[in-house]
Formats: sequence, structure tokens, C-alpha cells
Amino acid sequence: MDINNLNKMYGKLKALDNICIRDIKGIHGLVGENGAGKTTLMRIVATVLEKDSGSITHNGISWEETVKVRNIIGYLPQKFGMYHQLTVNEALEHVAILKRINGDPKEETKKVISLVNLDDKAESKVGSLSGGMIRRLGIAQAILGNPEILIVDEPTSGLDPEERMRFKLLLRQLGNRMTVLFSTHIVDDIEDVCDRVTVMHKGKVMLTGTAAEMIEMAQGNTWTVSSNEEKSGEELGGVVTDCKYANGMFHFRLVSDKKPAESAVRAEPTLEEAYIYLLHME
Amino acid sequence: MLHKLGRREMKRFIRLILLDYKEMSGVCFIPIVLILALTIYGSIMFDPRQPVLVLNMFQQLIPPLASWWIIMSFYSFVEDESGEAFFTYGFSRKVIGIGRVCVMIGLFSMLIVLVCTTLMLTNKCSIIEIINILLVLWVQSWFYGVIGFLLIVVIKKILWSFAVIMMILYFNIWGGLTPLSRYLIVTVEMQKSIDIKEIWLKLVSVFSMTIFFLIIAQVRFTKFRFRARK
Amino acid sequence: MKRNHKQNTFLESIRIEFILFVKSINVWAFLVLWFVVLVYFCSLLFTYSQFTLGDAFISQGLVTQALLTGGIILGAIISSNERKEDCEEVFYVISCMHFYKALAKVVLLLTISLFVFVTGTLTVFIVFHLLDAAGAYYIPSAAYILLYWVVPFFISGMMGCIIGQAMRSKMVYPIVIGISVFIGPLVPKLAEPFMLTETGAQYQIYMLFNLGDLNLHATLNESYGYCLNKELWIARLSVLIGIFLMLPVINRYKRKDYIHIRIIAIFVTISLVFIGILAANRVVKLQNWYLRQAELIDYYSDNPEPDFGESINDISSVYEIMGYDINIDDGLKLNICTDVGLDIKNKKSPLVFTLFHGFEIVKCTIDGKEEEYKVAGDALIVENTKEYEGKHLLRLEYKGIPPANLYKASNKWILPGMFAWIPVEYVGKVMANEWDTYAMFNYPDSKKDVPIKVEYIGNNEVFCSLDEKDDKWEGISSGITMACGWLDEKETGKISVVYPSLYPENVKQAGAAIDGLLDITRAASKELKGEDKCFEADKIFVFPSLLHSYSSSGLYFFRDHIVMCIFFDQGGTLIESIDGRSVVDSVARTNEWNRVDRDVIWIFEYAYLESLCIRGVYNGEGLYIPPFESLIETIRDDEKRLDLANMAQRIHDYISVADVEKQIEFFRSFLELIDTGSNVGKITRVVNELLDSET
Repeated sequence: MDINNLNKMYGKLKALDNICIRDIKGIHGLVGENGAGKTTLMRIVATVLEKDSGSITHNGISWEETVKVRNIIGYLPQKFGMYHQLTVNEALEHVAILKRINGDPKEETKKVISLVNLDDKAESKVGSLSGGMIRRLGIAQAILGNPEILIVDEPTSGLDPEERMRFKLLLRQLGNRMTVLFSTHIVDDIEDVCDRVTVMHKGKVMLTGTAAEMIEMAQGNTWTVSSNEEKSGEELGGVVTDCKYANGMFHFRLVSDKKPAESAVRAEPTLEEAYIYLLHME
Repeated sequence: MLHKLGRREMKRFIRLILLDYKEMSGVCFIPIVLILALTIYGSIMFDPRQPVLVLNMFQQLIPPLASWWIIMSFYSFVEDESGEAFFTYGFSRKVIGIGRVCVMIGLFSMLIVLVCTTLMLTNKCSIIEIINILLVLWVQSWFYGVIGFLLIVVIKKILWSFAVIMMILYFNIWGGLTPLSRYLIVTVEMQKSIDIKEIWLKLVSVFSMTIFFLIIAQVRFTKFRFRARK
Repeated sequence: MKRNHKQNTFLESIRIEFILFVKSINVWAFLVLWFVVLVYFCSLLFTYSQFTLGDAFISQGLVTQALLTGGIILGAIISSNERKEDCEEVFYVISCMHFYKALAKVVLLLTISLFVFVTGTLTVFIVFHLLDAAGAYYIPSAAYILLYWVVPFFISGMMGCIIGQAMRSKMVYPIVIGISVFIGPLVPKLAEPFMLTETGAQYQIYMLFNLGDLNLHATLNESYGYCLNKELWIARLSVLIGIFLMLPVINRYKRKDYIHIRIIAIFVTISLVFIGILAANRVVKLQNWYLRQAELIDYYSDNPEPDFGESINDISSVYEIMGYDINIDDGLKLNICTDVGLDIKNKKSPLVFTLFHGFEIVKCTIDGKEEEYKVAGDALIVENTKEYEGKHLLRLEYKGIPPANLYKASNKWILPGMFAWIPVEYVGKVMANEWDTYAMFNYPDSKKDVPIKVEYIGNNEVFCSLDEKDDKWEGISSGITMACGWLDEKETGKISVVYPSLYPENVKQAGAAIDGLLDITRAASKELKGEDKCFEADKIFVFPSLLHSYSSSGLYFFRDHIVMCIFFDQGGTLIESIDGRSVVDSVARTNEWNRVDRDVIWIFEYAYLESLCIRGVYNGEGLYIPPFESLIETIRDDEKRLDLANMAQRIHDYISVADVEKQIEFFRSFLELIDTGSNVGKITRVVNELLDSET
């Protein structure tokens, strides 16, 4: 999938500013702070919103052909719910029929329920499911009909660590057979799951590349500094990413363009630090 | 239970009420606008020789508005997810329930005073007549306000709660001889005004019933549970 | 295969909507609301008599208002299901799902509406059966339920769907409630006690959007039935279709796709709503027109009778009407073309007719040539500029609506023979003023029997006083009565009765009363007037509650039919509700009687009736004959009227013994005296002298 020169305004606010992301395949992550434009982009790709300008294409299909696009996408929005009176089976069968999938809706429903590990909750009402299970249900309905593109908007937010892990495993599985575009503001998720990542900031694309490329970019700009008193990022001349107290000393990790102190030592950047560097220093 | 609140607590409670109204945003003005309109209309149409026409209109239309603020103040409990946080603010359920209801009806009563004062100033009504009208409207407003509270904590749906209030209103207007209407509405003869001596028993009975409903509503509210949103 | 998928999708959407509805609190809330309203309405029905059940429908706006409120709330709730459950976007990205979901909600609303209709109608029918209601009530009541309960419910439900879709803020609550109040009968009901410009523009505007009954003060007119004008159906249908078209247009996620369809949908919706308002406006105007009945007083005072001088006293010296050939069409207005055969005696004089001013003259010709004419109140003055003389044909084309109580809709009207809906010899105003109400017909004292032909162009069942021949009616009479409405015709012996469909049992039992009516009429007209009224009468038209007349008996006689406009005592009988005195009054009364003391008139009528009974002309069965002795006693109770009482006593004694010829002679003389409009003293003196001369 290719996204070219995408723009979107909300009144005077430019939510997306000339977004270009090419060759989206496998599992592609979108990371950015709150308000970066990730959800707007996801919703445009999911055909919920309309772009102001630009183009999106996938295998010859242009996003102007909404009907065709909707036949090849599966979407899990940021805020997902389902009729709480229905059981999981009923809800998924309902979606399966609506999506006009090939094959028996019951069979397909069973498959996706297995895939997302909701077998023991198949006859439970949606209203009785936990947050993680609802998310899994969301994924299940999104992958019904084997879409070519799966769009998941912040699927791991609000999940406990175990659920997050499970989710990431599932996404990796799905990434083998479809293009997955997923957004998050948790950088660790990117590292574990994504083939490539796009960093967004204030509606703009800061970087598109692999996690390694991102880390590479922050090489030489990550420091460790020790001090006997607690200091802020401004005092240190950078953005503090970690602070530990040991042996009577404060040990800081920070990102900065220049050496923050005489005693500062270069450190190997983590993906998160690379992300922070990208957002604050560029 | 309000008197148990210290000064600081009282300030917090007042802030809570103000927050309620702020949260209602534009819709909190609905009763005010309607009552103003009714006041103007009633003052123009009032005929001291036939006060019954305006009095009936006031009895039918003004008290149901007392339930508006009360039902809307429970919006965050029943339609939104933010109501759960309410119970963590340190107020008891009595304060959030009865406390708020009483304050809102008290504020509504001020609107009724405005109505009556306007009537008195614009028409040749004696003070006794005005006080009588005020008492009747006040008791009826209590009834409707408490019914609104009871409805919202039982049904937990704003629109259906309003539907029931509207139904009571319709029965008052069309079903003039139905038990509910006979119970609630003070019937005034043509060319006569309200005489408290004749209706005090009715008012006391309505008010007692109101207190009874208030207690039931509060008990229900104490057991109020949010729908689990995971 | 593709079509199968679409069908499956649609059916699945509907299925889920039903499941969600049934599994939610909404179904219970709605059922409780409907149950309470239905029970209330049925209990109300039991307080009405079997003849006035219709009043329960039209006086109760509560059911309509409750259903409007329930409907709009239901619509708002079911349309926001997806939003509340946070699955709106999920369905939005499935192709066409937004449309199917909206359609499914419409189907759900339609099903609930059907449920309301079936349960409401069945329950009401059961109550009708228990109350022994006339069969004529059933189907029209079902139609009433459909028009005033079910369709408004469905409309408000659809409105609720649109509002629930379009609005996300708290303002949805006051808007939903406000709309349900505004489009219902509540606002007019609240304004009613103040008579707030009931006939004014503001009130009419309220009524345009009112989906309940339009006339707050109406009781059910037995002849016309419910107000089920086709315009009301058109209005509701238009609005319904318009709202339906808006459903796919209301879309939170504004997309440029199908924008042309949206624009067309909005345009068509606005047009349809406008058509609906226009249609409703017509009915509102008609209702308003009823309320303006009193303005007939203003009309007649602003348009007084022209002063034609002495010449008008003897119309027969100017022209004579030889016959009528009438063509009538009941479209939006009554369109009538009347050919009047004239024998013009005085070519210098204009030809003056009485024709109700509500009919606007479109064309006036004599022998095919345009003729000048003037209209002054109810006087139609054909100038006869070409000074025609002898036999000629006057053709008048006119259209309009009769007075309010004679017209309710294009399929509900009455054109009685004593009402000048065709041009008749000039008699002044069409309606007579009584106690500031123009409700009594100004009926000419004597009219010539002429051949009349009528052709009706329309689709309704019409009743006519003439005999039917090859889709036309023709006969010889002094007047023609036509009617269309909630009427039936039934043969009772030699005569047929056209009556409101609600009273078949009354008509079945009315045989003796009808015989009595005819016997008295014929006897009275022959003996007192030397005429033979209704000697060929084979039809009686019974129109209850048509008049608000306090002095008129409401009986009008023509050669071939009788029109009875009676105050119907609900719960009582129909034809028997008139008494013999009214019959005599109708035969004998002239305009001069308005100046005569009422007791004198009653003495005359009571005495004459008793005379008929004593002489065996009338056997006293069927119609009620009030006892003369009671009247004498009543008059005697007033000390100032002892002379009158004594006179009455003398008459009573006289008719017991005098022979037939002398009695008839006496009563003729008495009648002549009354016809002079003399005062009590003079009448008493002269009658006593008559009695002295007889004895």
C-alpha cells in the first residue's frame, strides 16, 4: 500500500500534513504522541474519513473506489465495542454475514474465535467480557473474511502486559498473510512486532524505516550522566529518559544533540530514546 | 446530612452543584427559558376574574420542569462513563443523591418565586393569593423533581425518564378525571382563586408521598451499580 | 449470488435490530407506555354511549401525543445503538452497512407501528363489541387509529432516528421532547383555554404540524364521521417519505461520495414536506372555516340584502323556473353547473335569484350567450341585458363550498333541498339569523314542483332525493337533496330512510314513526294549507346535529322527500325524537310566526294534533303527541295568562264535539290569524269570537 501526499484539515487545524508512506507491507507501525495524527490517518485509510488531498493505493486499487476498498480491509478502531446483549458467536456471525464473506459464516466465526483464543468465551455475552477479550473480539471481527489490509488503531492501550503480549503475537501471525497497519504510542510494541515503522509528530511524518534505522539515527546522541542532586532535563541540557538513584548518586540517561556535561558518557540508544530524540531534537 | 458538612465540605458541595450545571451546558437553561416564557405569557393572559385558566396552565407546565435538572444531573451516571469517578470524590451517596436533588429543587423554587412575583406585580393579585399559588406550585415541583430522581435511578435511561414525566403531564392535561390528575392538580372553580384552607390536606398528602418516593429513590441510589465497562 | 448476499445482509441487519430491541429495556418501556395508554383509552370508551363512541377518539389527543413522544424517543434510542456500543465505525467501513442498518431500523419501527395498530384496533374492536356499537364504527375507527395514532407514531419514530443519528450532544434531549410536543395536539390544547387566536395565523401554523385531530372542539358529526380527509393522508405520507429519504443523508462521517444523491434527497425531502404542509393547510383552512362560522354574521352585516323595492315581492311576475339540469362534481371544491329552464315574463327586469354566496360564479349564460350578472350577498342578479322574454335556458357554472356544517371534505357534504345550492327564486338570505347564529335555513314558503335532473361526476357514494335512472337522477320536486358521507339507506315499508350509518337499529324501529310523520304531514298540509305536501314522498333524509336552531322544528317537506335536521338525543331514538308538534310546525310555519307569542303557537299545534287524533286521522302511534291538557295547565299556572288558558280550554272543549268540517275551518282561520303576526290580545279576542260563532 502506498500513501502519497495525504492532507487533512479539521477547520484550521492541519491534522495531516503531506503524509507520504510508501511500500507498506507486512506489519507497519505508526507511532507518535497523542494528537500526532495517527488515528486520523488510520481512519482515512479505513475509509471512515475523507482526505482533503493526496492518494492511497494498494495493488492497483485507489482509495477513491470506496466500495472496493471496504471489501479488502478489516478495521479495529481505537474505541471498539459490540452489542453487549449478543454473545461472541452471535456478534461475529452478524459481522460475517454483513461482510458477505465467502464460506459459511459459522465456520469462519469458529476459525477466528480459535485464532484469537476466545473459544471458552464463545457463548458468553459481549457485555461480560474483559477489556482484553473485547480487543480480541475486535481483532476477530476485523479479520473475518481474510482482508488484505488490517488496520488496528492502538490495540494494546489499556491492556495488561499478558494481554499485550498475546496481542502482539497475534499481530505477528496475521502479518504473515496480510498487510497490517497498526498504530500505538507505546514504542516497545513497535520493536516487538513491526517490520517497519513511521514516526509521526504534529501531523507530519518524521521518519519511515525499520526500528534499527531509528536507533541508528539516535546514535551518538544518547548520554548517561551522574549527579549528586536531582536535576531536570533543562538543567542537564537534554531530555531525560531515565533516572536511577544508587550509591548516593542520581544516574540520568538523556538524549541531547551535544554533550550535556563534562562527565557525560555516550550510551547505546534504545528505540524509545531514538523516538524521543526524533520528536524533540529534529 | 447537609448540616453535617463543615464549611469546607459545604464549599466542595457547592462546587459539585456548579459542576453539575456546567456539565449540563446549554440544556440547563431549558427550564429557565420555558418558565420565563410561561411567566410572560401567563402574565399577559391572566384575568383576575378567571384566574383558573392561568393557574391550571401553571400547574400543568411548571412543576414537570423541576425534574429536568435532576434527571440531567444524572447523565454522567447513566449515559456516560465518567460517573464512576463521582463516588471517589469523598461525598456520600446521600449527598450525591438527596443532597443534589434538594438543592436543585431549591433553585427551581426560586424560579417559581419569580413567576409568582411577576404575577403579583403585573396583575391585581393579593399577596395571599400569590402565596397560595406559590405553595401549590412548590409542592407539585417537589413531587415532579423527586419522581424524576426515582425514575432515573430505577430506569437508568434519560429519555425514558422524560417519557414518563411527559406521560404524567399528558394525563394531567387530557385525563382530567384520572386518579393521578385528581391527586396532583388543584382544581379551582371559575372566578375563584386558590384557597389554602380548602386544599391544605391535599398538599400535605402530596408532599408526604413525595418524601416517601424520595426515600425509596435514595435507597435505590445507594444500591446503584454502573454497567461494567472494561 | 451477489443478490443473495445483499438480501442476506439486509435480513441479517433486520434480525439483529429485532434481537437488540427485544433484549433491551426499550421493549418493556414501550410496552408499559402503550399498555397504560390503551387501558386508559378503553376505559374512557366505556364512559361514552354506543352512539357517541366516536367522540372518545376525537376528543382525546392523549393517545396521539403519547405515541408521538414514545415514537420519537424510541427512534432516537434505536438509532444510537451503534454509537452507544462503540461499534459505529466498525459497521461503517463495511460496504453499504450504514444504509442497511438505517433501513433495518425503519423496518423495526414499522413492525412496532404495526404492532400498535393491530393491538390498538383489536382492543378497540373488543370494546366496541362489548358496548354493542354500530357496525359502521369499526372500519372507520380502524382508519382513524391508522391515521391519527399509528402513522404519527411512525413519523415521530423516523424523526427520532434522524435526530439520534445526527446529534451527539445533550441538546438531543430537549430537541426530541420539543419536537414531539410541537407536532402533537398538546400545544393547541394548551392554547385552547385562552382561545388564543383560534382562527388566527399562529394557531393555523400550529395546526399545520399537528399530527393529531385538528378540531379541538369537535364532537363526532354522525353524518360525516371522522375527519379522514385524503389531504391528511397525503400530508402524512409526504412527510414520511421525505423523512425516509433523509435517513441515508444523515451521516456523521461526511464523505463526498454520493453527494449528488444527498443533494437530490434533501431537495426531494423539502419538496415533499412542503407538499405535506400544503395538503394539511387545506384541511386546517377547512377546520378554521368551521370555527369562523360566526363570521357569517359579519358577512351578512357587511353584505346586507340589496333593496330591490316593491318589484321583488312578486318574483313570479318576472320569471318562472321551469326545471333544472344539474351537473355536480365534488373535487377540491364543489363544481356545479346548473341549467335553469326559465319562462321570463318581464324582459325589462333583472332576474334575481338566491344562491349561497360561498359559490363563486364562473360563468353565466342565457341560451349559450354570456350574460352580465352581479352578486350581492346571497342575491344573484342576472341583468338580462338582451331583454330575453319567454322560455330560455340560463346556465350557471359555479364552484365553492357550502356553509361549514354542510361540508366537511370532498367526500362529506350535504346539500339539502331547503338550502339554496342551486339558484332559486329570490327569498333573501340563504340562512336566517336566530340568536346571533346563522344556522336556520331561510326556506321559501312555497315552491313549485319542477322537473329536475342531476348528473354526479365523482367517485363517492352519493344519496339523492330523486330517482336514479342510468347513472343519473331525475324527478319532479320543489327541491333536491344530495348527500355524501357516513350515510346508509334503508327501506322501511313504503319509504326509504337515508340516515347516519351509526344508527341502523334506530331506523329499523322507526316504521311507525315514519308512518305517523307522513300521516300528520299530509293531513296538515291539506287541511291547513290546501296543499298536498310530500304526496309522493318516498325518501326521508335524517341529518342529526346539522342545525343549531332553537325554534325551527328542522323538518322540511318536498313533494318527493322529507329532510329532517334534528337535535339528536344521544342514547335515544332517531326519528322518534321529533314529536307531532314539530311536524305541524314545519308544515304550517311562516316567517310571520317569529312575531307571535310562543304559547299561542303551541296552543294551535297541540290543539290541531289532538283534533287529528280525535278525528281518527292519526292514531297517535309512532310519534309522540304531547298532551294538550298539560299545556293548558302550564299556561294557567301563570296568573297573567289566564285569558290565554281559558281560550285554550275552550278550544279543547270545542274540538271534542265539533264536526270535522267546522274544525278544519276553525283551524284554518286560527292559522290565518297567526300568519298575520298579531299579538296575544288580538288573537285571544278573535279566537274567542270564532268559538262563540261556532257554538
